[in-house]
Amino acid sequence: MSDQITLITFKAGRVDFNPPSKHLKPLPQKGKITLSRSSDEEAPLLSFVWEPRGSSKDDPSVERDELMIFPGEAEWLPVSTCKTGRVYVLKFNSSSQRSFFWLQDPPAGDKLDEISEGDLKIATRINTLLEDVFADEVDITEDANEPTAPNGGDVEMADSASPSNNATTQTPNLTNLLRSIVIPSGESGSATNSAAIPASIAPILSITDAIAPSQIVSYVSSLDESDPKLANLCNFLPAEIPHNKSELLRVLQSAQFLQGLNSLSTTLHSSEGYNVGQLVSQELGMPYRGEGIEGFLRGVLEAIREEEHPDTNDDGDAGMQE
Amino acid sequence: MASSGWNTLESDAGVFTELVESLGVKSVELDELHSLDADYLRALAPLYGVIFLFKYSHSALAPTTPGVPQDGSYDPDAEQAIFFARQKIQNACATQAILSVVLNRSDIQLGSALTEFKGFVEDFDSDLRGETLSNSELIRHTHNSFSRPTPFVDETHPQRQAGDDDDLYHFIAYLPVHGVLYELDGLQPHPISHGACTDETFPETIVQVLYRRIARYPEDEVRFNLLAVCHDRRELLAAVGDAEGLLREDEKRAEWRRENVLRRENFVGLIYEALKGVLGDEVVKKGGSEAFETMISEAKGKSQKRLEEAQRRNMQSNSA
Repeated sequence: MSDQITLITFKAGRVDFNPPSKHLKPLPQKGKITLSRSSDEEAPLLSFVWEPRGSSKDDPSVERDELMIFPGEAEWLPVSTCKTGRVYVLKFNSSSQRSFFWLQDPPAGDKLDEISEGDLKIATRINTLLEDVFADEVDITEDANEPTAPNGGDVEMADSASPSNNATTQTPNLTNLLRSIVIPSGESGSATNSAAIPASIAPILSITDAIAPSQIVSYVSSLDESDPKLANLCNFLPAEIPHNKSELLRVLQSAQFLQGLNSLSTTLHSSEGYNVGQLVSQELGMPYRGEGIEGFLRGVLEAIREEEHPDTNDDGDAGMQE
Repeated sequence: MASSGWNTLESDAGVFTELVESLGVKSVELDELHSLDADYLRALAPLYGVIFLFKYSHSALAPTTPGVPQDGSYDPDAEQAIFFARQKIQNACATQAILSVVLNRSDIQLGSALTEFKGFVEDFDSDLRGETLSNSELIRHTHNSFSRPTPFVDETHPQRQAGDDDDLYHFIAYLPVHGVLYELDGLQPHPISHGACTDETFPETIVQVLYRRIARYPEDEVRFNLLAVCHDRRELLAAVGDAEGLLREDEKRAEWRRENVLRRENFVGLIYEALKGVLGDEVVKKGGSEAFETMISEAKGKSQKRLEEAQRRNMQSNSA
């Protein structure tokens, strides 16, 4: 007898949350979220619906979700630890229930991976409605444009998926992060459109994508036996390995060294947001130039410059090589 | 908590051989078997047992009929007479499988630490034996000494338990004890008997059992590995005066030692120094900042491409 009154609607995809691993995996289907209330003024319940849109509507495996929310029962919060997409969580205060979504409305600017002003506006509106469904009912944010397939960030987070102001948030667990690297992949099931990260925002996933192991080998091969740089490199070999050029080359070509490169890459890449880059640069006595593999490489570049021009060194703690 | 602090071990004959030696076991080595062939196994005599490594999946492990294993039969009564421990920790399974072989062979010299351990757990049930193994400082410490320290780990946090999506590998032991071929798998409730078997018939019998086991996996599953637990080859070759063979074995051992040394390294220092060299040479000197930025954006492109390829593969394997 009562109709639903739409309060706000916007494009968003679901994000699969795996509690044991604390992994967030954005699902590639196109979708939208609609908040509505009953026309019955006596019913303070907010209806929160996610449903597929566009081509994803034809996908029989994609089901509509509806949640009925009491005033003040839930909050809509940005997942700040997610750096590769715009992810929000609908977090319930009374239980551990959480639903994650990634925003699919393309932002105005080119920063596809950052929460935009529009996102903040939507968030404010949602939180107002979560408090009180009868809050002003003026604007309905339906995008007039034909829904385009936005580029979804394949988000990967290992832990602490909830925002920082959540008291139950676990401290970021670096061990988890180090062990949980999974190449973000297309989704299981009948996903039809895979979410791809635009090249402009894709982070470097491996040091070897920037500098191939073969480049390291040919650099060392080119060093003269008497070059002090060679002796310096040999100093970083394990004590049990003879310190000479041919042994160094053997080590650089070993599976174990490649695993070391992978392991460091994984550490730097998957722990973005947890200042591992800072920890690494401190450990190495290297200038800190940001997180991730890119930040690490920029630090290496800075170190080279400082070593070449020690006088202009304004970074105090930069590591000098022996 | 007991489950923290067991690292993943690489499945490698050199790792496992040095591991048993570090535990005090005398004259035992492990060798990778490249074919499932009874004659080949017989040539390794004395062969103490084999360790089978495979990709873990619940479906391949779970008995289809409750109380009945997929092959062989449970032998709960054997638990007192032989060393069988329930596995309490995922990452300990390689070490546990090796111990299942060496602790059950009366012809292996265990050394004092393991002799003491064996005596200590003798009257325990298989659960308590598993707990005791998990809590053994000596065994855990030795086990962990073969893995690379992960760079920059926040050690105040417990390690993660592997989830469903992880590629998990499991190790189980097969060996003849008291005239019976036993499968000792810490994830099973009891030892599994595969019938009468002696040291002499072990090569033929184990080949049949393993063929049946492999046949239970999907056809495209190739992630198996088989290790023989046998006598130190060098002692056998020295006894018959095979100088050439001995030289080969010495080289094999030297290579194992070298690889184990490298396994303990995370190479962060070496990587940093080498990258400074390469970047300084190839990027800074030849093109300055511009060349560096080009390298960064090309690297992103490569990462992106790999990501897309991984997605495609994943989609294909999902639709297959």
